Amino acid sequence: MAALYRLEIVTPLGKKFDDMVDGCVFRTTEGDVGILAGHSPYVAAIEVGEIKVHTPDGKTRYAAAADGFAHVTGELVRILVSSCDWAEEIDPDKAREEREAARARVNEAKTPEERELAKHVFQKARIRRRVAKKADGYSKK
Amino acid sequence: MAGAGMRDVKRRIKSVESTMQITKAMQLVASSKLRRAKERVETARPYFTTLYNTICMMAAGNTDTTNVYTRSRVRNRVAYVVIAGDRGLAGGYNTNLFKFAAATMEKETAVVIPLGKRSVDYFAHRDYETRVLEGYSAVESMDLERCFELARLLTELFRSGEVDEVNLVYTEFVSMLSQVPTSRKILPLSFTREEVGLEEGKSFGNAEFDPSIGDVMAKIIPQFVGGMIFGAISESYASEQGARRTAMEAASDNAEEMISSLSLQYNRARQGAITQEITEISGGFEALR
Repeated sequence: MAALYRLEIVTPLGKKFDDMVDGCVFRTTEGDVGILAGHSPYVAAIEVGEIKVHTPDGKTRYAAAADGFAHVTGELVRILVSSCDWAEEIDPDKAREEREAARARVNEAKTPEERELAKHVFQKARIRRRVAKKADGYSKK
Repeated sequence: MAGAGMRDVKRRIKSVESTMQITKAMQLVASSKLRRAKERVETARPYFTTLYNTICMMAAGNTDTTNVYTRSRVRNRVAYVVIAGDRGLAGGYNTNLFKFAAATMEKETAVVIPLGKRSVDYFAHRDYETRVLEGYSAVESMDLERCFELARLLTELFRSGEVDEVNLVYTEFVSMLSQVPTSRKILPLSFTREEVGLEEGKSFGNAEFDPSIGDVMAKIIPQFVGGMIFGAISESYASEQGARRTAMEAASDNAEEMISSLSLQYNRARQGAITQEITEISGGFEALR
């Protein structure tokens, strides 16, 4: 059995997760990064992407997260993101609608800044939709 | 004679009663709003404080001065985002904040960015350079999404060099009964160890930054500014409700006191009138004998 460490996911709307885990994977600006127990101190910015959490009971939970950073210290991994939703909290149909609405906004954008913003929203919606499909409570690996 | 005095007193009792009804209602509304606002503050606080502390620690250890957001500049024009309420009748909530803001901005070339209708109104008639952001005047309508939008506007102001520093002036919600006006610097992200109150030796030490400390900071600056605004607004909103509840409670208490003293006066007058009538009747009876 692998060593455990404590993972904390904090958002402006409260703590999303605070428990011992086997490992987790998140999307940084440099690509996906996985953290196991005993990782050296590490800081990275988090992009719009998926967070994968391996719980001690051998299951994997998925979450759609956006914009923030991860801070790894010896005994604690803290992920601060502006939003984070577990797969089972997202309604797949609604997520699809949101994605389509976001796609329309990208196409309608007039100025480059507007386009940039709309793209960001679309990216978030796309990840939400993708993560929602992995729900079904805890998915077996 | 006594009858006329009685009517006056009666009328005053009625008017105080209706005022009390209003203050009571406002107190109840503020109480329920306060409960929700307090919950929001409590859920947002872990994010707010960790965000601030981590960024401060990063900034204190940062040696990369090529990034426009982390390099400190000469403070020619300093922006103050003053977050007050949308409504009055909240005791000293708004005035305390404005007094504090005025004291903080003394001796500086301040650019005021008012948030909240009261704040907009207040600074419209003062000698400050103000910059009202259209669509952001109502504090109550500020959700997370809009805070991040506002953050983008502020960072743009800073980046373009229009202002050299951005501060938030808001009211910290300490408890139901105590709310304290505070000011916090959010841009640029350059803090000395003293400013942050960091103990010697406590920092990121040998932490590895991916790809580099400057890049990580540049990436999370919009999140940081947005998160800080959201936190400050949550705190201010809870403070406003707390201040209003306390003020309305005091007003209701005063009204009650006034009613009881007026009823005493009324009853005395009524008793006086009756006594006088009895004296008159018995006096008239005496005279007839």
